[in-house]
Amino acid sequence: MTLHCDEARLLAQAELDDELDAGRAAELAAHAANCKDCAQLRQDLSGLSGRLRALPYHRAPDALRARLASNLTPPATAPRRRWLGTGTGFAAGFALAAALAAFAILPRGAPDMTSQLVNAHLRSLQAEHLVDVRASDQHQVKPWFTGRLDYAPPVREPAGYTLLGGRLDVLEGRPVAALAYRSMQHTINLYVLPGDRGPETSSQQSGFNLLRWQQDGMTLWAVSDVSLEGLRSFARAWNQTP
Amino acid sequence: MTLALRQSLLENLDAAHNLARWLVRDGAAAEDVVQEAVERALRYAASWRGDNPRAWLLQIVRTRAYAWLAERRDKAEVPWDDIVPLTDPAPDPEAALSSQQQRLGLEAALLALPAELRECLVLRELEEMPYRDIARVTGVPVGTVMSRLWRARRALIERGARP
Ligand SMILES: [Zn+2]
Repeated sequence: MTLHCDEARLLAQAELDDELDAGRAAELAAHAANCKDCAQLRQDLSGLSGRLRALPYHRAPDALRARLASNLTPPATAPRRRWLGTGTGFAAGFALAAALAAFAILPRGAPDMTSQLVNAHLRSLQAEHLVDVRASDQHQVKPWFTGRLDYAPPVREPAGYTLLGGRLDVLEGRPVAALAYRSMQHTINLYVLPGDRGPETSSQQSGFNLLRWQQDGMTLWAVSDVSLEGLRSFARAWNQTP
Repeated sequence: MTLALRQSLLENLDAAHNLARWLVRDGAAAEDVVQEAVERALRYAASWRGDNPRAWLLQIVRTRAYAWLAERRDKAEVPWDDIVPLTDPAPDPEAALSSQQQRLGLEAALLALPAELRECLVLRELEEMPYRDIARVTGVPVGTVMSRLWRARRALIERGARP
């Protein structure tokens, strides 16, 4: 069984990258012994690799490292739970600034629902307070809300999204259910409120997208930095989950 | 988990900065990108699966770097080839290139590659990441990583072989 040059080239690269098993490596060696082109390619690849590895490796400059290190090392006495204004460390500081930026563009008077949602979303991220009850099993989340709310929010885990857990949040002055999901590297907060508020609508604020829809007499608000299209997919997946 | 994550972020700052620097090709911008990426990593600590913090951080660095590039492209598109001359020195074809010239030439050639090809080579040759991790950082299948590596290498080899 002879190897074709096309395939031998891919094997030569995989060999260089330590991704070739011994059997295939032997096939490649046998081919290269009789093929000048592929033997040359192996040499070229390894020569290039050596020269690339001699190129500058850009280590983090000391100033940057020092700046980040002081913020990445939490103080020994850091409280377990942090909240707006009392946060310590870099994450809290940054998110606080983001929260302040969000507040800065609020209209005077009572903040509208979009602002309340974005602020609630920011609070959950900055305080590292995404969940009160973890979802090692979604069936633990639903009962947790019982007795804490005057309605029973549906708790679902749509395919492709990881339910991190649930928590209580406050919107329009009343406690509501918030469910935190992970999708790729993004966090989606889903606020579940009783009652219909009309057809699907979307908005944007402070770099976050919001999507509202309704199902089974509940109003659902999703807030995240994922795209609006991403939120619509999430809504579809949610609606289709029993 | 957060403590472990913070520790891992510190340990991978060099890798983060190296990737950012090679992608945005600008010292100050690379620092901004790394700082932003670390901020985001902390904000979204809950989305870390607890494995391979380096790939996770580099994925965020890459996203921020591309965002920076896209923003700059909106303002003024300046092709990289116009900024840094691809050193094809040797007015005299017989003149042998010094090793320093060769190194600069290779660096310029790598910098001039499309970012999607360049990042694969940087992650493979400078970070020594396996295909699987490169795929995770760049968000493409392993097969695509292999084909990008191949295209990048062939371009550099052909360039080096040019008389
Ligand atoms: Zn061959």
